[in-house]
Amino acid sequence: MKDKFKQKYTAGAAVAYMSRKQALKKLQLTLKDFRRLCIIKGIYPHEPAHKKQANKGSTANKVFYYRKDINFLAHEPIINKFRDYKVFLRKLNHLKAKKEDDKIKKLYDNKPVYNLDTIVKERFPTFGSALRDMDDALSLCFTFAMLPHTRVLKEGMIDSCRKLTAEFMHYVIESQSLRNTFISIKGIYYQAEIHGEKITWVVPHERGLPHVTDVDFTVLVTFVEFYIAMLGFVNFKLYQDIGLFYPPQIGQVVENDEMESEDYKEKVYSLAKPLAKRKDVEQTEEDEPLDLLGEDSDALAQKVREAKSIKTMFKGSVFYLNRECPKEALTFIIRNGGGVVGWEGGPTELKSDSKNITHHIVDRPMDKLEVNRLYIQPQWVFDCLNARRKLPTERYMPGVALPPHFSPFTSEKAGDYIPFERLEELRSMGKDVSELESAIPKTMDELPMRRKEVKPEKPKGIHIAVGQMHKKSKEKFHETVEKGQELKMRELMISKKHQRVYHSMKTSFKRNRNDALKLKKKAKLVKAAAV
Amino acid sequence: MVAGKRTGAAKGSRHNKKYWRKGTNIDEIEDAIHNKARQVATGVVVEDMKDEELFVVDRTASTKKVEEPTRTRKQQAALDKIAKNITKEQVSLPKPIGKTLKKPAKLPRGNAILMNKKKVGKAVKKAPKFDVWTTDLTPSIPAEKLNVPEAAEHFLKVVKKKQPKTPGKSITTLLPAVEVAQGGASYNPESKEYHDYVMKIAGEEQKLIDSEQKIKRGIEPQWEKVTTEHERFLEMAEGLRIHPKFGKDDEEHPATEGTATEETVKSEPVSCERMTKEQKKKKAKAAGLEKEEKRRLDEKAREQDSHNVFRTKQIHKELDEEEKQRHEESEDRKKKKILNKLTKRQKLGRGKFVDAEEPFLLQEELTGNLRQIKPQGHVLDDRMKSLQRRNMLPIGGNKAKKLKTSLKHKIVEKRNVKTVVKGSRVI
Repeated sequence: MKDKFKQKYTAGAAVAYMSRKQALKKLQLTLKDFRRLCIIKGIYPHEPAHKKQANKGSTANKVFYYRKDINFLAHEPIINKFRDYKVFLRKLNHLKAKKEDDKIKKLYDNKPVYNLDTIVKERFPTFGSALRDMDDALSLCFTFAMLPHTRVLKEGMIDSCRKLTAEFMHYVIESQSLRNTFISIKGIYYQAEIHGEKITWVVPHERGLPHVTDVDFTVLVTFVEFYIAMLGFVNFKLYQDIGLFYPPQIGQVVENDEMESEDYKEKVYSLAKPLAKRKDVEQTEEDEPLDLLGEDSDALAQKVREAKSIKTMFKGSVFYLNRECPKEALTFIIRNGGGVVGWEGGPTELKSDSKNITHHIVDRPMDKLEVNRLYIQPQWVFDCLNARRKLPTERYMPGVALPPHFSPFTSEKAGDYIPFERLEELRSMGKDVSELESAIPKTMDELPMRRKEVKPEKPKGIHIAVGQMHKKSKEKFHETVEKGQELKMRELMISKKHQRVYHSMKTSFKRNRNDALKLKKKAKLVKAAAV
Repeated sequence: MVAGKRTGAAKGSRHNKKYWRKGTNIDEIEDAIHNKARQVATGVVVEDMKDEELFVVDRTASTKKVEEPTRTRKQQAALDKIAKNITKEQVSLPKPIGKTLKKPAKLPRGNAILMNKKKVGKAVKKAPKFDVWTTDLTPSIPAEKLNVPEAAEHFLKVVKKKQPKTPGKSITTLLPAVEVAQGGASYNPESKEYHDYVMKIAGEEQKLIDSEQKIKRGIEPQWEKVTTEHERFLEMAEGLRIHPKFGKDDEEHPATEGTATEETVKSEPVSCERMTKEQKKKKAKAAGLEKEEKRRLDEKAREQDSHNVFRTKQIHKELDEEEKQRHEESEDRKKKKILNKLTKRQKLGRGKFVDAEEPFLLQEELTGNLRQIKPQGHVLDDRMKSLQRRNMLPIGGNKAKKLKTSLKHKIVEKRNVKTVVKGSRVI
């Protein structure tokens, strides 16, 4: 039987959602602890569709959570740890006031700590799901690794960020999975392809990061805390997959104590030396013959070809980095391409006058050059990766104005103005540029010259000529006229609603075309002037 | 006081001096003096003698027992109990029968503590050395301890070792976690890309400036000074002689002169426009025609409805079509709703989402090489905004201030109250 007198707000949105205040009351937590718990457990607020209903008649802007989420949170054992921590702080305060140092020490030894292992597994039930969420984790950890430690940012956290990011980069180098880079004024973007997932992250420039004021560090620290736990497991799994030791080892197998030393850490963080591989894992050489992939799987074949060209890009080359170059980024890309890197005082102990150096990367005008090596600016390395081949070095010599650095993440639209350099780059990457090229409007001199009909000179004076029949080229005339008429008719048929959009599209096409034409003309003029 | 006969003056009142002098008995004192004199004469003063010289310790046992006072049975029992408790020997508790617990292990001392501590500290810091995705992390109770699986499950849930099933994770967003900067933000951009990028930022900035100006214009008064009606009148009447009583009349004595004004003011004649007969006729005719037309249309519609019987098939078809279309539209709406939820910002909390400003460099700041690059913007700022854009963080804002509905009472002592003192004259 249907309840005749059903009370208001006992079903629907009013029950499905819970405001934050209610949640705090239910979980008996402070706001700070609740925030931490939500971030660690990956529970986010939601805006109810019927806000007034969920808010029991009020229209105030509140933060709402799903009730089932909060009920789930209530079972979390970490909540108890939070409470223990509160007690710990109280005791600590008490003992500090009493100045009982022994007891304080003892208390610190028994400080409540929580373990995030189960939560990592709960949030990412499969390894693939963890990989898909790496973007956030990597970007945050790379940034945190560069920050100075403060009261909120503990030293241990920054150290582990540094360690984990270095480990991840080592993995990318060993698996040679870096695909794209882009140097922006914000930082350097990287994209790697790991287990078929495209992972994009950003690394700030190696300068002192400016001070930020409107960022809530406590929130970000909680995120990083979770990501550190997650990255640890992901790194372990990745290392296992390609048969590396975890934690990473360079050269011979080292004891744990030695691994903790600063020298060894520096060596690992420099990325310059290859990691030792486990002997029990047999190395699988991926030398798939390309003709296995038929003509039909064109995109896949293209991908495989690209990957192969990246892997062998810098094979056999030895790079020497001058003092002022960004070492981490360059080492990362060069070693990803199979090259060898060294610098003054680096772990590979490469001397600047060594005979086997093939490339010397310099970011300032040089006066003394050696004959048997190529001198280049750092941008060459980045552009090579994006172009998937070794670019000619003439335009990247020290002291020469560099060609523009394009973003590999933008996709070109047909009809836009695409500079000549970009077109070349796209062509070298093996992309089909014919469509783009054909869409570029042609200038007058490029158009096929219409042959001027040589008219027979009219004889002067009065004369008589043989009469000619007026001939209309039937097909051609009709075709063009009919086409035009048809188009007009179709335009008329467009509903009023869409007419405006159509016209604005048309005008924008026209404008773009004109712009592109102008730019092309300009470029041509500049070229002509240079020559 | 002295007992015995009272003689002489002692017979009188005792509290006079006479009695004090004569009536006091001094026999005791005389006796004591005599005794002492005698002792001195005999050679020994008792007070100065030692105990041993005076007394002899009697060491022979006396046969006679001291008789105890007779007690009632109850008293005796109580006494016995007390005596027993005092005399009873303290006996330790009996040893527990069965297995004896092992003694707790000796706690480490001195250097051993330090050594242990080192071990613990290292274990905490170490990175995980197992694969979470292949190892089973669900807690369990060994079968020899608890054989019933249901009970074990229940126990683990109660002690919060085991979690309930996770609620279905919904995808929060479709937006990418890391948005790559546009081509124009390159450190060495191509001129066209750079131009587009900077122009876009400039356009946004211009919009902001325009809106600010609009607000400013709205707030400021349009003319420099607003003249009141009175000021305008005065200006118009400049140079005219105005009767001093002008204007005062209608303000000051409206009530007293009410009767006088009533007579003077003439109300306008009320005009009542009436339709002529012809007009009335015309109107009635028009109304009649309208009615007729309506009736005709109604009848026509009714007739057409009656014909619908033969069109049922077609009507069904039409209805079906309409239903189909409605369904399609609702599906589209649903799709759009989901898409909006996954791509647009939701209102979470009081605050307003403010997008991060795109960083840019001026043309002269673009150095074209990596060494002299001037980094702009902050990655953390970007991260924070990205999290907010993907509805992963609520945005807090300030609470709206409540307007006061009631005024506060304030006690003020006025000066003339203070001057009223005792003795001042009441007027």
